[in-house]
Amino acid sequence: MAYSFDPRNTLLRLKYKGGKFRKGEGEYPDVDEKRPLTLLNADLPTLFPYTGYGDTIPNPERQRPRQEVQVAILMRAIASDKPWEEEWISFWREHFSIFAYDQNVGAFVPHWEENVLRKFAWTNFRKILEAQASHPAMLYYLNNRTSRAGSANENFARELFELHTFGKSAYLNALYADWKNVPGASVGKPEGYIDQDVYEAARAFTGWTVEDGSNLGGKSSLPATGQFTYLESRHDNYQKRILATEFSPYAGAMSDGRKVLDLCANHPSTAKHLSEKLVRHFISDNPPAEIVLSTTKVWMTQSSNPAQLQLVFEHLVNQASRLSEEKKQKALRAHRLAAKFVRITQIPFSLGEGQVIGVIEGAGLAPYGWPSPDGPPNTVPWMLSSSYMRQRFTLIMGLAENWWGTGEWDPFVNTQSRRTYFELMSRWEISLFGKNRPELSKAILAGFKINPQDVISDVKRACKLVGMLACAPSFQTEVILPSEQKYKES
Amino acid sequence: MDRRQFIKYSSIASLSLMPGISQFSLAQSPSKIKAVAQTGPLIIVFLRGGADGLGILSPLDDKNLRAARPPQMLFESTSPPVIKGSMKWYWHPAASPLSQLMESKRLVPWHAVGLTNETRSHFEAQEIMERGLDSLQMIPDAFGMISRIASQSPNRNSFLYAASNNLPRAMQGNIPAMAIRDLQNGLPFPGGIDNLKMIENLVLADSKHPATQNIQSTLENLNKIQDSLIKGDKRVRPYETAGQTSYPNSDPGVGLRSVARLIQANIGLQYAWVDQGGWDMHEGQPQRMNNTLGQLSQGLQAFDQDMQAQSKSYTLVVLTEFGRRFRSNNSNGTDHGHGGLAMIMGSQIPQVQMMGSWPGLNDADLDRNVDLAVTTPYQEVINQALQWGRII
Repeated sequence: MAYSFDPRNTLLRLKYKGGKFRKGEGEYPDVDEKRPLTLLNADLPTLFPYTGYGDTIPNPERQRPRQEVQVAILMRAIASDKPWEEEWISFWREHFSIFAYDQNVGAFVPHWEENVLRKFAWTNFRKILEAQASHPAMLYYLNNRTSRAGSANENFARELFELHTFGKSAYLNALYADWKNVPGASVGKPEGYIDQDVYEAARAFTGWTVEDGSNLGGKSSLPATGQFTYLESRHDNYQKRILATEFSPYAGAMSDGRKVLDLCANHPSTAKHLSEKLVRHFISDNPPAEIVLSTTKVWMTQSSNPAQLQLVFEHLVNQASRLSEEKKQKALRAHRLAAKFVRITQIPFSLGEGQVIGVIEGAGLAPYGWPSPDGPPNTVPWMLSSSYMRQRFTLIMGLAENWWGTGEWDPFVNTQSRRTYFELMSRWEISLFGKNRPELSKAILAGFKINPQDVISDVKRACKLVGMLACAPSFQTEVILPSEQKYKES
Repeated sequence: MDRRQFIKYSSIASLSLMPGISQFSLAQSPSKIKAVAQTGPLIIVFLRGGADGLGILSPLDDKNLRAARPPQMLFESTSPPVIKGSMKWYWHPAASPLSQLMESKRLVPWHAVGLTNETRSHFEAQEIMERGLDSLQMIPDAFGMISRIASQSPNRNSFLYAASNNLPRAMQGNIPAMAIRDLQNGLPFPGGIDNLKMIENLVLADSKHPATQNIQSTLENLNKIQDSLIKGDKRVRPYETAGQTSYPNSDPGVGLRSVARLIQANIGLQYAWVDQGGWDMHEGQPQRMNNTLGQLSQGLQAFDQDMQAQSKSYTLVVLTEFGRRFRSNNSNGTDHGHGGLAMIMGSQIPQVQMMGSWPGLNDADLDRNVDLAVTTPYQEVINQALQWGRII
């Protein structure tokens, strides 16, 4: 089956009771419909009211932007013939992690997904860095929206250094404000950052805000469009010293912030931090030091290349192809687990009443579902924890046995008409694991006291057995990156 | 395999794969925290994000505080003040259940607690604290704080329980540990116990896969907990508190309810961990403080009533990675600071108004001229809690 994803044909149930708008201006009716995804390409002014501003979107519907994006991520995982590309987007989604269950952030998530992640993930790091720093989702999430001269809000500046760029191993906090003693500072190349850099960088980003309709004093207000704006009146224009670099006073609109982004994007600590994280995400929970090193090198030498990130990705593909399969097993995120099972069993997937989305949320972490800005861990012990594992089994069994109306499938496809249990299971071992794993089928059949040589004709029973087979640990992990040859062919 | 990964795997693998290594073999640990034989479990409630101690139990008469924060971050207290010498602190209105707990000798606050390390990063501060260390410069072993206490523990055969979806850093090590946020409806397995047995066999058959040990221990944990919750009629009923206040259906109430359930089940729980997020109040602090502190206070009150009604002993410590900046920012919030507020609760708390030494809020008293100083390292607070909770 060829899978494809068309938002117009992807129907997600929307159901809520009618009610009154807060200000008492009018009512909204009961809604119960299967609605296609309409917000994925929406612009910011369309999405802004979903924050609740103006009280024009019924309250129960304000989660819709987040839900549509989460469905789209699942559907793309199912539809894509190049899952590593979707995984690359996932990496950046988790690197610049935002929490969409906060309505102020969630409202903008479709725009963030398209215009920060998908637009820039294959370009240059400096570009995606500015795109996220100036996006309303991040400006709300890390509070830079309300930061202003006088006593700047440090939330964004701190995480920019610690999470987005340098990494916490470059935080030389023992030096606090003693910038001259940071190694390399005397030649303008500090090896790390200190608290003083955070305080000063927070000043640099004052005035980077959102057109959120807020009062500017007197009779003037910002427009209510949800778009980025730079507000000179909130910017701290005086001189600064950040990363042993002098910032002149009154340097011009946005130039302080941009200069901080330049310094961060091109710093060797950033290259190292990102490379380590990339190798961990795409290749191994235990990143091989030599691959981290060579990736750092590519990152640095290509730092001004418009396709820097694409080249880094290709380097990872190249390096991973030298490792054996066992050395690059990564736990599947819950939506990837669902997608893999759907594709292999050729379930004609539909969302049904949408319950499957809730099961996926319980079986791991939903995209955009991690509350703090460090982003979710993705190692094997973390993803296969007690809490999640039970739900992962539920997810697979439920898809196999069609508990939530996701689609019936034929477990007998490509088998003979009078096939034995043994033949059925052998056929699915190869599909699920890429090779025969008779010991796994044997464990299941023995448990059910089934003679492998008996003939099976009961479809439901066959679906259940195949679902059980996919509960094996070997199905819970994957090699993310394609072989070099496969990558070139694609 | 790097250090952290090794620990994660070993926490799962140790018991089944390394029978020669005792879980108590690291008893000469360099930790500043000393385990004792306790009458009841030790529970840590961790306020993630850096809770503003100055806004929870507030020295409202101090002119420095009134100058540093706008009126909306100050309040009229509805509870009696906490008095020590000439100093008075006032509970935030949302913390009035904490004041009541204090009046009934179940809670003691402890001011100016934290790390001796200077960090103002959440993730670094949490890492240091959860490892039970002073800094990350010198890492003596791979244990989390709770695993290390448990490994030198006279409370044998204990296991660690975290009421969250994942095991916190503090519980990584090689003591049996499990993490499940909500036990209200037990842990039914899809398709029932037969399916569980089947999958256990399947996992055993897939023994060479790197995820196998992890999944295997997960299944054992599920089994153990589910067994302990099943009553005579083979069903798991929703847990009901024995106290008057019901558990709020939010963090940390849900987690405390799960801990209470395991205490009631009598399966040897000695160490538990409950997280509450939402304390990183860079903006909109007044409203967020109302909600978040209210949920904390009600959760703690419900837990204490429940334990008292069942005559169960316990010791509980409320910790956070750091306090918040003394001066508020222009977003109606506060940034990352240093000294914070800790609290000890339990069934054996002496009559004390306030623990700790108050550093003061004059410019010269502040850490780096910006934050409440730390006068008590957090390890001392845990030691004191363990001492109060010991078997007498």
